[in-house]
Amino acid sequence: MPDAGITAFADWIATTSLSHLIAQKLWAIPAIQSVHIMSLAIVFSSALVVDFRMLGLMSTGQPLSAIARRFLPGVWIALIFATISGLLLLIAEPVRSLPTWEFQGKMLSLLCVIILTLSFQKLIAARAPAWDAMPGVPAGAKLAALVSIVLWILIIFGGRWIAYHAG
Amino acid sequence: MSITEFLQALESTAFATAVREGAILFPFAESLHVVALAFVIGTVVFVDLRLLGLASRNQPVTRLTNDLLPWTWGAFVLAAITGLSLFSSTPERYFTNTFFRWKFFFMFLAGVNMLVFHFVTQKNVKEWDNDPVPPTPARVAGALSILFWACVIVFGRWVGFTL
Repeated sequence: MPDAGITAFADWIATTSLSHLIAQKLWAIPAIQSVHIMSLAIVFSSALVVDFRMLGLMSTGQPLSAIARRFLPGVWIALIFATISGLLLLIAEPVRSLPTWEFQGKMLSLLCVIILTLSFQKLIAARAPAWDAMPGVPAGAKLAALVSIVLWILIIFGGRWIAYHAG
Repeated sequence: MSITEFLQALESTAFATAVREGAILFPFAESLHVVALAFVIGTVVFVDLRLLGLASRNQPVTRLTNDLLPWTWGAFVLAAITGLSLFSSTPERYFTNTFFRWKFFFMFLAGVNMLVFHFVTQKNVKEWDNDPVPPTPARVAGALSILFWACVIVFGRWVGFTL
């Protein structure tokens, strides 16, 4: 991992005026974190409702494609707000977050779960007639839904654990 | 037993000591607390947006609440258990923290709002279950719920900066 490059980049961000502005306002970081938590609450819940429906645990009386159409846009819209607030937090405290394995693991998990969710969206639409009639999807897709839940939980753990990064 | 004695007794339990002194248990409980509260607040907001007539408008209100709310309560129990674990690590510091008290004040308001909706507003739900935009009392309940829960998040986050 190019740690020296990332650390140098983090050091540079810390010298910018935007970074100083956010870091010096006592209320700014908790306020931005609150927006981040509200956004992630919508992202996480929207994704999990679709995952639970795929697993046959929730809303089994309704077609999967209808659930996906209702909730997946929430993932993408709230993800924009989570990304903006997350970027501001990064700019405020780059050295504390960017070089840590917790942050890097969180971003890797996020990339994986975005790709997974995009493929769910396509697959659910493509298989609509067959999958809509079933309470849960076939075993392979169920496993993918389970992986999605685990990835989202890892993302939340990674984010919180940045604050406890040692050394 | 006074409140102070109770808090001190809680703090001296083996579990509280483990949360306070271990390197892993506190961040673990805190992360799980975020997972649980994210699901509680996310699903509550889905119902609130439906009550406001802003989302899931083609769904009966009661179908959405029947599908989501049992899971919301499950996540709430997890948030309460993990929250109590965090609290037990240094009970007196939390109990005397102003932001912590405001957080619970707003959680109390969210609870009252929910009870009023459940036992009063929702009584004639059959008449407006399918309405894309529910009547004013239901919309007010949805808006207040979002406001109160947002305050719970804001004050909860401040606790971490002021202990």
